[in-house]
Amino acid sequence: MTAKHANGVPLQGVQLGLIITPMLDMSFQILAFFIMTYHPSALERNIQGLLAPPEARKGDGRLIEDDLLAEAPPVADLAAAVTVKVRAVMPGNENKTHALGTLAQIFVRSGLDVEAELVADTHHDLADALKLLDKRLKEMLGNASGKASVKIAPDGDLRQEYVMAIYDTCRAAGYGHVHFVPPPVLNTKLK
Amino acid sequence: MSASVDSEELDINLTPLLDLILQLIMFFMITINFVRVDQFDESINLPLATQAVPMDNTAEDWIFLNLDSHGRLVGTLSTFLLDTPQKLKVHLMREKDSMERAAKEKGKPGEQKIVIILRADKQCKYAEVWTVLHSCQLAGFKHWQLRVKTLPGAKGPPPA
Repeated sequence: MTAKHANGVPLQGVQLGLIITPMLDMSFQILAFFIMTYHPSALERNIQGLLAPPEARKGDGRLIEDDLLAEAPPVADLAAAVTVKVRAVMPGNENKTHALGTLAQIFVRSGLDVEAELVADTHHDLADALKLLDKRLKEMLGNASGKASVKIAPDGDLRQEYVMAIYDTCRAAGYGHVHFVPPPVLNTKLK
Repeated sequence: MSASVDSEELDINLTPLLDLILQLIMFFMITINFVRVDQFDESINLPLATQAVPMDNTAEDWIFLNLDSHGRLVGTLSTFLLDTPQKLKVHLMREKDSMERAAKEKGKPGEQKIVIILRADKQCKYAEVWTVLHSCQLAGFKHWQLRVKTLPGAKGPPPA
């Protein structure tokens, strides 16, 4: 934008332009701040659940069947729901291929009076074990609706990543409500 | 900012650069989420789960708990000596009380939906996760969420 006189002759002297250097400096600083503080939080999701109130415990403080970390309020047929019992590799049994706290055995049980059935053990790798569990869970679900419940009963020593892998398999198999049973022995304390 | 025809000076055309920078700034300003360090503690390596759901936005308040691979509470809670479930329970009860009091002062009557969000490391033991959630249960909390990581593009569960 060159300033011109009325007769079309360019004016000599100071040309006033927009000084954008400070604006660019500030823009770069703001950009750097946002890039450094950016966190892709969308990759984090949640597994939601309800906690049964403490009053649901028996008088002697013993845990009862309803005292579960449930995804939904306990349902009437919870006692008869399918249970997935997951055993961890315990101290003394670990080796090069099976570290402490990894998956050792998976059992399923279709009711309280039924014998638990071994689905997978350390002879299977994780992917195969989960495939076998998925197949067995789908067989047990049959034509039931997606509202069916399943209880996951992991050993206290089982690593959380395996608990989540079992959870994923149960949900993918078509079970709408997944409940977490307290570990059999609470021998660990917060350090 | 046009190059003068009758001079030999060469100006860099900054307009596209400025446009791009301003667009990037706008993108980051829109997507930024000013959160406490507890909410995205990078030291916690979350387990992977494809069947998890997005965060529940119906809660009035949240308490974030970060459990490291050794089963220890880290983040802002590490400044407190919460080495037993009982101490954690008492601490959480106090937190709950103060949150409920603050809500009442703001004129929100009735019971507040306060959700415990547990960010447990994938290497920590199930018993450690359960112990923390059990302390929350004893402290009077009713809702919990277990934070997990999903793969980009993961579908998630079908709607209930």
